[in-house]
Amino acid sequence: MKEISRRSFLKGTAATGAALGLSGSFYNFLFSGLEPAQASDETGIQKFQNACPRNCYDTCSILSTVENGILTKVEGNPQNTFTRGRLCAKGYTYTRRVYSPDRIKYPMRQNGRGSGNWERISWDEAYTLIAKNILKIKKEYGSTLPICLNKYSGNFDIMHYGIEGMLSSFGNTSRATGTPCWPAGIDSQTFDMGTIVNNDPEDLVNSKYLILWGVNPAWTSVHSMYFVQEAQRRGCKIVAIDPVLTQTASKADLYLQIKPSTDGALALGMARYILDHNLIDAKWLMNNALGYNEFFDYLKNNITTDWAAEKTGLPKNVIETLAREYATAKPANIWIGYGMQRHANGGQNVRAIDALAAITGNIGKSGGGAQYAHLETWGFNYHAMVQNKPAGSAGSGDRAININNFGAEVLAAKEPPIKMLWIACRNPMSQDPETSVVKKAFEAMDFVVTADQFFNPSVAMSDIVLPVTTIFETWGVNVSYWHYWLCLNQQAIKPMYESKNDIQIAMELSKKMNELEPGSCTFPTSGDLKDWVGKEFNTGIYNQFGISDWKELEKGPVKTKAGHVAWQDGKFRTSSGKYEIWSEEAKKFGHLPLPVYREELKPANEYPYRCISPHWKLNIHSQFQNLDWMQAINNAPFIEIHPETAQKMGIQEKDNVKMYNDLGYIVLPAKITETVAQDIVVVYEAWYKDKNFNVNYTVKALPADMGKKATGMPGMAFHDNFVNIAKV
Amino acid sequence: MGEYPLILFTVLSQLSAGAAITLSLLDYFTKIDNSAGKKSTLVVLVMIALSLGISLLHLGHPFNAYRALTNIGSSWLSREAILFFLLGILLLVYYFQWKEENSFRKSLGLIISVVSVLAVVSSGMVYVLPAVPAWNNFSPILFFLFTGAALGPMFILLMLKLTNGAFSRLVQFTAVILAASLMCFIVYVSVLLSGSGASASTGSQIVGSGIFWPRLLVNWILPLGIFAWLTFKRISPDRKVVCSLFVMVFIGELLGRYLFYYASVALKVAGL
Amino acid sequence: MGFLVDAERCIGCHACEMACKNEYQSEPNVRWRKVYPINETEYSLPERNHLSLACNHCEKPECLRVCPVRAYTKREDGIVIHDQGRCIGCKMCAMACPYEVPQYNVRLKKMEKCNLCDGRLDQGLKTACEAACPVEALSVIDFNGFTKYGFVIALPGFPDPSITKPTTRFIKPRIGAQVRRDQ
Repeated sequence: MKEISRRSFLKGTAATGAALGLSGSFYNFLFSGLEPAQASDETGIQKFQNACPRNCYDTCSILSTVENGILTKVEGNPQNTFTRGRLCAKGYTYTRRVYSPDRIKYPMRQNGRGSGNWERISWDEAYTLIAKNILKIKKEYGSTLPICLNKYSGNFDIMHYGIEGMLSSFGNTSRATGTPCWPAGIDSQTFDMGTIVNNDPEDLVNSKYLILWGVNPAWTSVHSMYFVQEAQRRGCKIVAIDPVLTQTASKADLYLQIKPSTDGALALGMARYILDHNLIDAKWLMNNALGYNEFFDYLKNNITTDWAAEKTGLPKNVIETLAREYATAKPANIWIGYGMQRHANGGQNVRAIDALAAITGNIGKSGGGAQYAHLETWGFNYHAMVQNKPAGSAGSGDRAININNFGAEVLAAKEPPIKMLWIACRNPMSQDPETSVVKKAFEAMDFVVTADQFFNPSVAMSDIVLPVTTIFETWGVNVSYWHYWLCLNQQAIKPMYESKNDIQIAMELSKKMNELEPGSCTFPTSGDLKDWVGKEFNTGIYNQFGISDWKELEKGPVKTKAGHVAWQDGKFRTSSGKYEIWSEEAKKFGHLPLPVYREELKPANEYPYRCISPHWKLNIHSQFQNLDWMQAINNAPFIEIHPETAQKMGIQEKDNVKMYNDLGYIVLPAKITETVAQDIVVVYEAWYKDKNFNVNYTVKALPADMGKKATGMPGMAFHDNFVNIAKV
Repeated sequence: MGEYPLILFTVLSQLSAGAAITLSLLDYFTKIDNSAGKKSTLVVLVMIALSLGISLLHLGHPFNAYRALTNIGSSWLSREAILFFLLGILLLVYYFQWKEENSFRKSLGLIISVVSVLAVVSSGMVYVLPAVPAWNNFSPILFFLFTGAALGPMFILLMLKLTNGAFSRLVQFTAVILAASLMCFIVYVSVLLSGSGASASTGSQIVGSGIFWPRLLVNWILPLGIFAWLTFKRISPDRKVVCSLFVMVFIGELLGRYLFYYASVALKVAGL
Repeated sequence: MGFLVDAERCIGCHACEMACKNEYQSEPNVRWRKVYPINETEYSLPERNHLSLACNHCEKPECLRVCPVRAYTKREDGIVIHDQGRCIGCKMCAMACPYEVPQYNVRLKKMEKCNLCDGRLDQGLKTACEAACPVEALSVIDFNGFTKYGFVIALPGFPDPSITKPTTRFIKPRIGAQVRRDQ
């Protein structure tokens, strides 16, 4: 079937389908269950509202075209004024994802984890196997705590939180807790302002000065890049601060190649200059902030621009000019990226940058602010997620397993140990640090179930794989952690093969468990997924978005009616209601109350290079890069090395380079480029199909300083990875 | 399959054209045995048909190849196809003229010679493309003509089982052609190597290719060495020698044509 | 008519290329539009700049000249159309195009290339690539009497435009200031 191309597939009618000899199940899929109204009426062309649910700033509104039951193309929905009718390279591959020959088509059982010896089983067999294992564990250990869920950002549709609900409905379980992405920065802003809120990104055009600090929207938020460039065209100066000359930095007016993890030193140096030259907004501070005098004392006593220059590797005059320009342009904006907080001092650095925005009075202003992210539009019912535990469930509650040290914590869990994993919307074998430890954890399990769409490395380490639907094959609802739009995801086509929505799986598994042991699972055993979407809505959401019924979303996405300038009302959500430069809350979590500088980690002698492993433009983590359309553009990872470093190490373009440390090594071809500094190498994190590449073999599970307060676990210092390189 | 059909088509069709010219000129200027002439014509005709057939293998849709005759206005590929097709028809007519003394056949032979040259020239013109700097000059035409001139006379000489003065004149002619083509090749490669960009990379691809030296050896060094040795020893070559020389040069031309296709570097957008 | 590629705006994101594939559901390895990185040593400072290129709809199209089956035509408005119905897959156009535009579809055994979304343009729509570019770096401009200061006919890496006279025009990338640690 692989040779049946997409195009013939699209143009296929029943006749050609038969002529091409499409095999039974495939043929049946295409032409059996179509509702006659869709197949024969009118032109046969329908449009559906969809939403890209990936872990991405942009959360695009999609309009999909379905012809005779087949998804023929996707487009951006022009009603969304942030995504402006455009998708990204990844979004435009969606037809290819739906109809990929590589999709997991049926429930399958692997005889020997990692063996590749898969056999197709029926859904009923799968449910029976899973249910029996769960019930056996419960019997043997007296609770369901040996079952651990690792689910996170592969699909951020609200209803998908029902996967957590499914685990709750078994009883008390172990949960991968926290987030690898952004927790240090969330805590920083939570200490400073009470929570994270960013200005509407469409407001970027009102900035007069914009610092893109450790963020690369040209690759990770292409739609924001339009507003950045529009601001630039309207006269805003764009400054990019990044250890890597990113695509975004290439488009900036000024690029500052800072030493990694010293962002706090730069911010504090700037703050000292601003203080010394009386460029602070004293009135704003007096009305809105706490602890600024203590902060100023700290600056006067401890910080100089000379020190900042030495720390950051940026000349003193550059720091001073930057400080002056930033403090005098009104409004001036800073976009704080997630990359810059993936360090052992990342949270503290974000606090220092926040302080910069506060002392210049830029917070609460259109075109100003310290943008990080928001969760303002996420006030759903979480109807699918909130499930009661079965009566008499043993254990006092769920057990938290640090998602950022998943392998080691799963192995170390005692009383009871962890025996079973449920993996959904996640690929820990690709994305977690210390891959070899994660692999050991998978190996140590009695039973591993993974629900996914492709045979990725986590699926390879599973006993059972369950095929899940793509967004076009099911219902959902999506909001963004960056923009302020709400978008419905309509089912546009029938599920391919035997794939099911994770919530459907939960319902049917619950049915099986209750058959085998009545009362063992509380998850509803039936329900219409479209109705379940409706159950996520409440009047809060309706009022926020100015709608009276969620079905209005079938006409298109909607945007919040207010709140597009963060903190405009000056009502911070700290305990004092003020911006807390001095944070007692931070103290409670073991941090210093002021955003003082916390020393950055430095390379050791054996491992003199810092490996930064940022996002790659053709994927989001382990999704998309495996599709053949992407492979046609690029199908090989590489390591970026500065020409001087390459020369020193005798490495030439395309030479195979071994990058190693005491955790592990990877071998990949060199790309020699001056976009990196001499003491830095860059390897973009990705999962390539059929390639044994994973940068996380070398990444230690080193915590970032913050994250515990807001997300339950500290963040991950992905970019404090020290390595050596050698030509092989 | 790559360009193998084109390698075979061009070498075979040039050999056939060279043979057709040799045959018709011998027929015009000397006396040829009717049955040997008829047989040779048939063989050349079959070779042309065969080479055209092979050329179809290069096409995605060989059964629609007739459409390739429709753009003689600007496409040298159309012109090439038409001329070789025409050559085949003329040879077919020629074949039926092998009776007694026949002045029509002799005149037809002259036309065949002219069409053969034009056909080979148009074959060369196909490759005179600005997008391929190494080809965008007189060289494809020149080397294609050399192929026909080096192989055609030997082929006819062997077909007609010549033994007379024509035999040694044709052998001498072949030696001169080989020497000339070697010189031109050396000049061509040197010019490429001294150039820049795509030309220079074509040059280094040719010289760096594993078949560069084998080609030099069987196409020129060995045959010319044998000629030189025979001349030095004052030995007249016999059929066996010519036969081996023909095989060498034929293999050499195939290798050379392989290099022609695989070593040429086209212009392209830099960056990937 | 031809493409205007604003290399200052372009962020090399490949959305244009993928939108083209999405529109025509083309074979994985047939890329009507491709995004090429401009070698970072071409400008005074290393930057990530790109050329997004599809068919250049040349004034003197070599494909049209060499095609033996007259599969190529040039419309009044300048669009060079490849008619796959006539194509016999001889690949002559692939050899003759300096920009590697016509590509062989292994499954159909025919060539294909960008027809400048002629169908969409005729319906008054934008090309799929222009409609998709998140930073509006691509547009289709009408050349009839259209000249504007600031357009160039080539950027580094673009083969000699004198051969086929492409209608593609470019806006040069501006090179921003950089404070680097290797200086």
